[in-house]
Amino acid sequence: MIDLVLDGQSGVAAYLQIVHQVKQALRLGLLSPGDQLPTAREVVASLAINPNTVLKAYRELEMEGLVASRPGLGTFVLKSLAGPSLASHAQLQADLRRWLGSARTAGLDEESIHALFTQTIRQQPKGRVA
Amino acid sequence: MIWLTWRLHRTETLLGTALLTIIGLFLTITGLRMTSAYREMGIASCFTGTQADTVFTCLPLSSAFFNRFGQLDSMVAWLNFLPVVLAMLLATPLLNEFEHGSFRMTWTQSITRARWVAYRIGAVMVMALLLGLLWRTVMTWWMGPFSAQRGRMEADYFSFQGTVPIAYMLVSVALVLAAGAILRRTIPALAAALVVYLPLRLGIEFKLRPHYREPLTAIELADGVRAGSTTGVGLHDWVVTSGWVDQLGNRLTETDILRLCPPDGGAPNPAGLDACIRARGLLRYEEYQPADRFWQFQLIETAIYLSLAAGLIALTVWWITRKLA
Amino acid sequence: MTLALHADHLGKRYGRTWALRDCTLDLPAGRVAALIGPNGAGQSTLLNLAVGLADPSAGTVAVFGLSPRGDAAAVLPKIGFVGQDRPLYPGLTVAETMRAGLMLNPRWDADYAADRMRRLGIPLDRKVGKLSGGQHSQVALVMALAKRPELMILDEPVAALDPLARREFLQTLMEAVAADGMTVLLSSHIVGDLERICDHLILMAEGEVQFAGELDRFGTSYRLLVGPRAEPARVARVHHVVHERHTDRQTTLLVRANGHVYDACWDVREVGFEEIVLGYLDRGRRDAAQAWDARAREEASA
Repeated sequence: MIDLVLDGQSGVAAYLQIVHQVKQALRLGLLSPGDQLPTAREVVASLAINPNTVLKAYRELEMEGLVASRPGLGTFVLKSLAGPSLASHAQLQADLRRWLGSARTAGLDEESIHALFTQTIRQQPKGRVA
Repeated sequence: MIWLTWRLHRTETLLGTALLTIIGLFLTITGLRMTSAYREMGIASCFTGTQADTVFTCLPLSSAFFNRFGQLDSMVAWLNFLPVVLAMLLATPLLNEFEHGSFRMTWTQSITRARWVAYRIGAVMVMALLLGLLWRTVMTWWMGPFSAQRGRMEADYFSFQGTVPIAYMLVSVALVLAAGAILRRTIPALAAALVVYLPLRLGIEFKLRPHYREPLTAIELADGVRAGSTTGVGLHDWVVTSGWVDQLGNRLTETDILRLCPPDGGAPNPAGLDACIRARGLLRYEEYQPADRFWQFQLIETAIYLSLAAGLIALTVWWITRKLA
Repeated sequence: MTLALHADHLGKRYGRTWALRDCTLDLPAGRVAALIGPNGAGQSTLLNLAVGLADPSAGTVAVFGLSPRGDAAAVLPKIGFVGQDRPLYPGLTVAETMRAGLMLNPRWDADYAADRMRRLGIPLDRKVGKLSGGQHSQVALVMALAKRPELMILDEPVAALDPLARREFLQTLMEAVAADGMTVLLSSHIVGDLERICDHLILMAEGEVQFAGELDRFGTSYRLLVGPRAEPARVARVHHVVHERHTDRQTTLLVRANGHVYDACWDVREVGFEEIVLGYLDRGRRDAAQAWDARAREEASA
């Protein structure tokens, strides 16, 4: 069972934060197909947020085909995002390593790299690039 | 609701019971002593006669009794405060509820305001009624020897017997409740109730009570010889005012007396004054309420107090249901 | 759609002052609604009217279609109330308070109440007057929740609590919402909390409702426009200007945008929930101040 947290200051909508955290858990293998997601009641009891927020997040995940809700039983994981998906991006990972090397050579420390990365990601419009 | 009412009144009920037990013990012990003295001193047998004259032959025995127990008689005056104290004990839990706003918890718990008022105020008033009854019964017994000798019309003898003690109880509680509902602070409400009750009670007793009916007037008989009483007013009757009249029936004031019988020298001389008054043919008059008006007066005074109580309760209920939030 | 609360030109006057005036709003069932406004704006009055603790001076209020005062016996079991002073009896113990709840309500979940006290570590034999602020609030909350109400009304319930107590209070409240689909109407000053838990917003200022509607609709369409000193007339033709602020060089407008803002003289910025709320509240105060000024001028010239 995963533990969800909420960052009130991040400016990101609460339901999106939940979606991201579930996806992250899937990626890291903390959740496997067949596992049950925490019930809305459990999430709300620990985070003190509106239950609709949780339901919205779960609906979003369901639309992406990652989970399925069984009325009366709960919401269960369908697909995993771990392992193979990361592995299939080996090329991306290699590029990333090379870029990191250049960044270090340019004199950026770890914090500056994070800042540069975050800034670029934020400026990038969401969704697919044409 | 019943359990909650009991629980909220628990402390004050225990306090009140303790107080009543102490007073009850005191009254029982002294009352028993008095009743046995009343019998043993021969007063009981003396007063069994109803002849007004024979009654007066018992006066020396009576004086002895009052010499012995007179102090108790005057201490009893303090017990006039008991209804107020009991009223405060009965009503304080409700007053606290108003002050702290706790009633709002009950009012939003599925109990309608009307039901709450009926239970809480109803409970308090019923208790007041029962306490009044108990109080009146105990005091009537205790005062038996006194009233047998001095009647039931005067002052405390009247106030502690009949039906008025119950009415005093109800009015005291009604006053405290009304003050509490309006002022919403316990201590000021208790103080306000006291400040209103005392003058009210004293005012009615001393200003209104003597005039519930036109008093009878008795004038001393011309031959001046009486067996004990100069005017024929009985021991159980209540003398409201007294003074002197001349042969024509005109009432004389103090100044008139002093003019007719000036004191010679500086020192007051009661024997000389008496002689002078007799010489001038002045007679004593007394305005009195006869003893057989006891129940009439009781009902009149009870009616006054009950209407006050009813008015105050109506005000309290109206205030709570309409204005309180 | 059932309306948990319906107010129609509702008003309440104390003496000569109108604490609440011409209040019309609908609260659909199942929503968690925030009631926000400056002190004295009429929130407590509105909540007291909804619960039946006060009588309207004008207009009507209905809870699930019934009058809170007229149909009190039918309405009260459906409402849970936690008032501003979180009324309880200081002389009773926690256990006795729970017992009072059992005796006073037709429906009472004693297991839920006992379970909550146990989970929060509140001793059952402690007198209510001796509890800490957070514990007191939790007991008051559970007294209202154990009735299994359909509508919970709370008047600044977390004002005096430390952050942990506040969080625990909201956790309890939200868990009950998740379990029963309860409607909640809660007034508070703590905007951060409200953003987390509410999906419906009612803004009040100067005794009147400034905004009532869904929170989603509220947040996404607002923008802050910053530009050189100018009148908002041109912008106001397309968009709804909520609030304007001028210095001698610069104008800042808070608008609820109808579509994209194309006007090039303005720098368009996103604006946070708290800023939007403050903009409405300030406008309410400004409007009232202007009305007051106008009246004063009238009286002076008369």
